[in-house]
Amino acid sequence: MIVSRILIRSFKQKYSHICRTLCSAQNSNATTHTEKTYPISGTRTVFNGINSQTMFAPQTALIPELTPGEILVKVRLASICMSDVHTIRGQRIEPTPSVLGHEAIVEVVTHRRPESDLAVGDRLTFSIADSCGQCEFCLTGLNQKCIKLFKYGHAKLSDGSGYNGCYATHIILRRGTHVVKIPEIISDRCAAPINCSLATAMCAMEYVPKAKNGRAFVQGDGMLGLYTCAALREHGFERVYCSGTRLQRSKFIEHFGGIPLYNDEILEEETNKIDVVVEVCGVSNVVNDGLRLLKPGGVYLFVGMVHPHSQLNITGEQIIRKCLTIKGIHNYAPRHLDQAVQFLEKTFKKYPYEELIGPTYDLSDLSQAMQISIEKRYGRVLVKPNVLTS
Amino acid sequence: MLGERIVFNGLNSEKMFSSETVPLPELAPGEILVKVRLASICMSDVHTTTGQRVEPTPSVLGHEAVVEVVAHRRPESDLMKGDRLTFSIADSCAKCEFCLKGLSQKCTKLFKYGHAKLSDGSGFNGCYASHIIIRSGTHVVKIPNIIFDRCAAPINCSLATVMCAMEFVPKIKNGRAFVQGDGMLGLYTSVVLHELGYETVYCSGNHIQRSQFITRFGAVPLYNDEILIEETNKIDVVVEVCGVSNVVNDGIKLLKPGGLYLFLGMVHPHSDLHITGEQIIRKCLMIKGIHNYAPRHLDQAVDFLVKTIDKYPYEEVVGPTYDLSDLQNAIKIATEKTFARVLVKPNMK
Repeated sequence: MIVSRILIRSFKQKYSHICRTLCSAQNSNATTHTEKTYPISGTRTVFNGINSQTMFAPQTALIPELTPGEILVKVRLASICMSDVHTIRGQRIEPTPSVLGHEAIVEVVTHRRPESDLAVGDRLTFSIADSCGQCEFCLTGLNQKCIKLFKYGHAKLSDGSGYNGCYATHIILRRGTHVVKIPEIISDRCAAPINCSLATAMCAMEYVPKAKNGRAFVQGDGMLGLYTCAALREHGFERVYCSGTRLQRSKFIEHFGGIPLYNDEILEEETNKIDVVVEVCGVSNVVNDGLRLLKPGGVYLFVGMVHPHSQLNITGEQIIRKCLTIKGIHNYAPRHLDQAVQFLEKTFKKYPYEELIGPTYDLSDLSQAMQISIEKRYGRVLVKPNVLTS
Repeated sequence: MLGERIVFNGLNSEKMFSSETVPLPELAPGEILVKVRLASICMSDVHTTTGQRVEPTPSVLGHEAVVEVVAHRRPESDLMKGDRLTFSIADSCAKCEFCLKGLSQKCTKLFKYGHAKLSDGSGFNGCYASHIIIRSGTHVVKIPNIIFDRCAAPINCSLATVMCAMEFVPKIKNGRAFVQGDGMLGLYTSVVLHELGYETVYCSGNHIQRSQFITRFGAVPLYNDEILIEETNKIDVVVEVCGVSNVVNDGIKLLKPGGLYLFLGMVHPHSDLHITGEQIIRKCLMIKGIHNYAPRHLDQAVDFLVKTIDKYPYEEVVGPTYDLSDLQNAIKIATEKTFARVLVKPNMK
């Protein structure tokens, strides 16, 4: 038994592709990229808009053949990002009908990227932005603003393959989509939120200077806030305050290296002393506090206020007199997905990522899962599709 | 030795400006006694005399000037009597966390010429005077002969501040910029962006008579809203140098994703911004506030002017010279904004 295990391991190291084919008896969805078992059917939960008779309607549909560069993946586990919650509450408008959901850990079913080292069964995370790689934005590392941008979970059903969102059994990843393998050490539950929340935090970190004895203030205790606390600590920040509206999160904040702030007094003491403030709560009235806390030359990162009700009540003078920098962070570029996976792998045992993740609902229970998400009891609520063909 | 200074007593005093002749104090180590060759009136002083800014009083205003060494106590330097100098408006300690990371203008022990009470230090603290005592923490730069006094005077506020702003401007292939303001800051910013290699630099403002200067400083005068619409989402850098907050919405509209907005002019409380966090986030914009500058920017300002003095009509944008005793009148002319700068020259006794 031991000998065969050693043999299999060495095969895996050198010939992982062939090995998975040999092991495919256990997984009848497995195919090499040259064999297809089309036609395959998948299920997707279609979002029809908040005013429609059935907001969510499951649909079983044939999965189209792959074109060059595409990857067919099955969704192992999806997580509900707050922006989807906002969509179903009408605070955000997305095109309809569409398949929502843009955070998930997925598994390769088949692919047409012969130059890659992708193998059937590989667990992947993927960039929510599909980009062209050639326009001025892609070329300057701002792929999330590609002129031909396509975003999973934000596209009409008729756009591309229709398997465009994570609230489905499958996704067809387009050829302009960066993917990263998930190391074994990272569980599905912790991997799901990588490709929106954690990758966005990595993008924000690119604008954080290394500050000796640095002090930071994270405004928001959701998934973004907790990831940002950990990232700032790992970056060398000595003191990271984190404030939010959920007192029950305070122990999580501590576990993620932050100092929970539900007390306005501490705010007064740190006036003009904070190097970096990060807004990750989506509420614009925290900005005046943030500006006051920042020291001259400080940096303010805006991440959460991605909606129109984000009027700022600030003056140009406040920004000028303290020589402040304000940077808007929206989504991220491929390199940030790499950094997110590396960061999670490096710190997986250090921070209690598992504890942030709430219960898993079946895909057919999506409405209920959204409801629980709205209550904001957990950092994330998960959705797991039943795989039809198994 | 005696020196003359024009004391600003505040808006509501009987006499807003009064002339005073007093002995010059002895120099402390590190200090430099200079005589003012030519001072220029910065718009912020105009705002102080119209009440839009509040400065401590009594004080000597004026913080832009080209000066000349009379005596000094900096033996380690190569300063000589008669040297023409420009000097940093910020006197800083070089040891605090801000000085150490290159943000000397926010020094914990900051002192600003033209913004200090008479009782602070020597009292010869501002440029509307015959002399200034430059303190030991003040960076000075010699003015090469090729730069005449009229062009040298505005270096140490306006041009040096523009150099500070430029530190944040990326070199971009086929770059497009939009300068909001056609005063001294706007003209300097236009020319620096042009020299930095920006392909198209628009410059907008209120003074249509400035349009020929804008053109000669390498920019496209913009008094026409149509061109603005065509450039929506296409501008790499917008620079606010007019002090008016309602231009910011235009600026944000024009910026392309990933673009940079520099705020320089709105250094007063009536600068409410009517923008949303969403606008900044969705375009991944960067907004940078620029207030004053650090010593290195004064060096860069002099270098820039030396390099380009024959290329651009710097002399022509500077207006007439008034005697120091005529300060109030000079400030009034400056208020009218007919010229980018109005000059003040003390009578030497």
